[in-house]
Amino acid sequence: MQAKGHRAEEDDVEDKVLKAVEVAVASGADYADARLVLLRQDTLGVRNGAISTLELHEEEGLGVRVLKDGAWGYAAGPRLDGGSIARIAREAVEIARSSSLVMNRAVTLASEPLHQDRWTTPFVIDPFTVPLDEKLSLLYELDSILRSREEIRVAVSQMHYSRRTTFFASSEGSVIHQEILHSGCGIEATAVGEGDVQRRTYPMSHRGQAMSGGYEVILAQQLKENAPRVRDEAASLLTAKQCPSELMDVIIGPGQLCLQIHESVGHPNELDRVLGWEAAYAGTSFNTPEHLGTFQYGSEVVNLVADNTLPGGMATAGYDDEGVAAQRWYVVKQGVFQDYFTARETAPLIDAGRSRGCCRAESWYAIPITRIPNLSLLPGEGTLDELIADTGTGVMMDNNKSWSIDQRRLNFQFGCEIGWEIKGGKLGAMLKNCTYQGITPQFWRSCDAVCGDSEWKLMGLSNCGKGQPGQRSWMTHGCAPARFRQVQIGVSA
Amino acid sequence: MVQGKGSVMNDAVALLTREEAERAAAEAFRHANGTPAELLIEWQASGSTRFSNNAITQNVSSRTESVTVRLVDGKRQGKAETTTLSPSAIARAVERAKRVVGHGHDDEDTLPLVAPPQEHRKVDAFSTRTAETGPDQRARIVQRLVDRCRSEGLTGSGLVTMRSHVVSYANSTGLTGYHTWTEASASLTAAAGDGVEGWAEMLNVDVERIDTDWLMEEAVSTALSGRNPGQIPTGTYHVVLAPAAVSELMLFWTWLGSGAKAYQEDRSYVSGKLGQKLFSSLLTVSDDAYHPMAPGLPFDFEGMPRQRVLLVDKGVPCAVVHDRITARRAGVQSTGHSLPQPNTSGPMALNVVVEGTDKPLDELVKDVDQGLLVKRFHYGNVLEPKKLSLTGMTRSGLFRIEGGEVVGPVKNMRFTDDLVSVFSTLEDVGRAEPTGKALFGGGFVVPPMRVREFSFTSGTEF
Repeated sequence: MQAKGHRAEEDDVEDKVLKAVEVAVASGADYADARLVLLRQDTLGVRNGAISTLELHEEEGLGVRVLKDGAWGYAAGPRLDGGSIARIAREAVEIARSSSLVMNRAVTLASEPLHQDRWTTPFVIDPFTVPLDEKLSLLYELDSILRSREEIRVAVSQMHYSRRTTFFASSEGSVIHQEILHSGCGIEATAVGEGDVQRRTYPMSHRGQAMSGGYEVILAQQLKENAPRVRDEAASLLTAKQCPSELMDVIIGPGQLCLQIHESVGHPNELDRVLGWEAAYAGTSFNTPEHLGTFQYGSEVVNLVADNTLPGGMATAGYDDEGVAAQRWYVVKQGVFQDYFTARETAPLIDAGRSRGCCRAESWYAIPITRIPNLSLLPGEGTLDELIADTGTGVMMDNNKSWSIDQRRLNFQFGCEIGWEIKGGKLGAMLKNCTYQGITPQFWRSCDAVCGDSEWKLMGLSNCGKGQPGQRSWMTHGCAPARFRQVQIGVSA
Repeated sequence: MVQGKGSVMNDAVALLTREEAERAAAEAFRHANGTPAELLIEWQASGSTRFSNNAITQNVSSRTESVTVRLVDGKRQGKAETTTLSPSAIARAVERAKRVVGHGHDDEDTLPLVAPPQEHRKVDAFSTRTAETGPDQRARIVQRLVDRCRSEGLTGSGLVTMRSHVVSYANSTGLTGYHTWTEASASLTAAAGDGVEGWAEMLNVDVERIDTDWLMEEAVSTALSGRNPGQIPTGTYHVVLAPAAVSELMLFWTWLGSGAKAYQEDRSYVSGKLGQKLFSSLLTVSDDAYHPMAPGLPFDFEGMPRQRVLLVDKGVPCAVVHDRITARRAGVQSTGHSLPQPNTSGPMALNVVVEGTDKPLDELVKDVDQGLLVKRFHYGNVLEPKKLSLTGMTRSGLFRIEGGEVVGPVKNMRFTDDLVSVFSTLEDVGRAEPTGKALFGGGFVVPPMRVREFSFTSGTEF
């Protein structure tokens, strides 16, 4: 009976989405799609022995996107009664008419096979079924471990998980139902002393690790086992040596390399940005279309693959938010630039026959835009110990602390939570306030080694911002520690 | 709902009324069954027209209703959110919040809900004209901006946005707060090729006060004069910072240094240093939700009245803002700067006003023999919070100053510097104006500044 009731509910929701498309077309839309999103998301956090975040969030709403005379319109609202749905659909068409007042060209969409499908994230343990007490007890226990040294003034332990159910329908005939489950967690310890403030996080900064999957993702992070190390490293950083300021060989760990990939390969290759559509906000890209297939983006050991079918990836789904099936492709192969991240509107503008399926929205209230897919640096060979030994003298840095890059994605500067000297082929003294700076293609061309499979990790980001109005998105960057030769480190005023 | 008239587009101005908000609160309190409860509603109707390459590329309208229920049972609290005001959604949210209360641990920082009376000042920040501006009017604004760019051989991009907001606070002790405001904004990036661009942005409560002539002149003239930039060495420069550049720096100053939580945890640059002269005497900063150029919320997210707080007086940091938790620890009164509770960030200034003079920016340039004019910063970030150490890029115009005159463009550079040092070499300030950089819907009012020592640490290719 329960299953039958659930199915009836799904049928009802599907009817609403189809109704929205029908009204939009009847109102004059040449093309229409509608997304109805149901989101359930819990965020639990303990800070210094008290609950800092305990939010059980639910949302629902509908967004309708239409093309009328080659111009876009988008309208969205939270109310899902028949009258509201029709109003949203008609409003989208009226907005498209306004858009056509200032246009250069009529939008044409790359063709995509019709899909009538259902896709669900594979998972082992549904996080919503794990007792709240059990989850909070874990966070309190972590908090207690982190605060067991007097230097630690702020301890935070948190977890978050969400189930996003999307019903999509288009006037072309696609009808797609997806249920995407994400889970994530992290801990951080902030030490204060010696006139300084230092922070360590685990498994990574930016809200910790996040993956598609269930509560097993959280259990797999081994937070309790790592909490003492995180606490002790934060305290030790207060008295650690300052990062030197010079040109050095640098090994970058996955906790930082993921953001290097994100900012200097991810964003520059969003085709909407390349075409100038983000020029007014985050900027454009140095990597213009004449580079396709020829530009030396990195050295020969640099292989970067986009893959929205990647198990565990945050961007992994059956389809994007305009009904294009998930794909895998090379962005950089043996150092040479191969392809962009595209949507149905942008793919034809570089004569691509099909969208790469990168068009996603934060939720129902936001129009889908081109987003970074799961994007990974493929593993090379060897272990981290072997790479350190081979390096002889240099610095190793890990876990992102700060990030900044210019509006064409060339000059970047990153700060890392922690670093270590490499001397005599071994890790030496701990370093604090580690930074490095470079220019994107030169930097990737200086990469001469990437560790192998055994060191390769998925690093999930859940807070990538883009667009106006701003939208958040999520994706994963797989990587292993990699070495970059003669990098400017230790930038300070 | 107060219905608009006529077509479907006019429906966008049907604001959530005080009565509707109170009905929703009553529904929540009924389900709470006597457990002290608060209901926070953030309602927004938004229309945004985005353009690039001299054409509209994105045109959206959305209405959102963020509804947050918080239950406070002694030293325990629970919170749940939903995005629709339907009675069933509110009932479900209350039930979820009850589950949380039942599982939480006692927390000394969980305080009883604020009781009336609290005096919330009236802040007049709503324009019906802005609320009623639809996509056709937005398109006409865009048309003017791109026509000017085309006529100059430039590529225009930007955003025209109209928003109507309602924030409603109510708790079961009988305290209520209801505030409406509108935001009209227009921005223009005029690109001249090879990464050269000019930028301007204007914000106002009232769409009629968006001066598109000024916007076009500022963005276009900067782009045209920025062509063929030269390269200069990195180093420490005498600089004039335009208001947009100052605004970016003040965003980080506010985030890292205005609130009591970081201060009490010794994480702030000002921890233990209140009352010491750290900056130039020319720096005076306050948080003022009642400033006519950037009006803010008259109450905070606990329902406390927002107070004007003097944060830096002639170079001396003299206060931080408080919520009730930090105020209790410090033995003072809340200044009305709570973010939604519970909150990891603590209280924060949202309407920062840096005191200016009547001098236009050109006056500041006149007193620079060799230096740089920085129009704007891009993608700033924090390196060391305790030192207010930041990095970021210049953008939308970096110009060489010689003999008190702007003489030509130079390629963008990255700055890396400590704000305490930067503001200690502040030499002059100009006329303050509202800027768009602020968190949680706040607004800044900042002047241009002349700073004697500002460090640039690397360059880029454009």
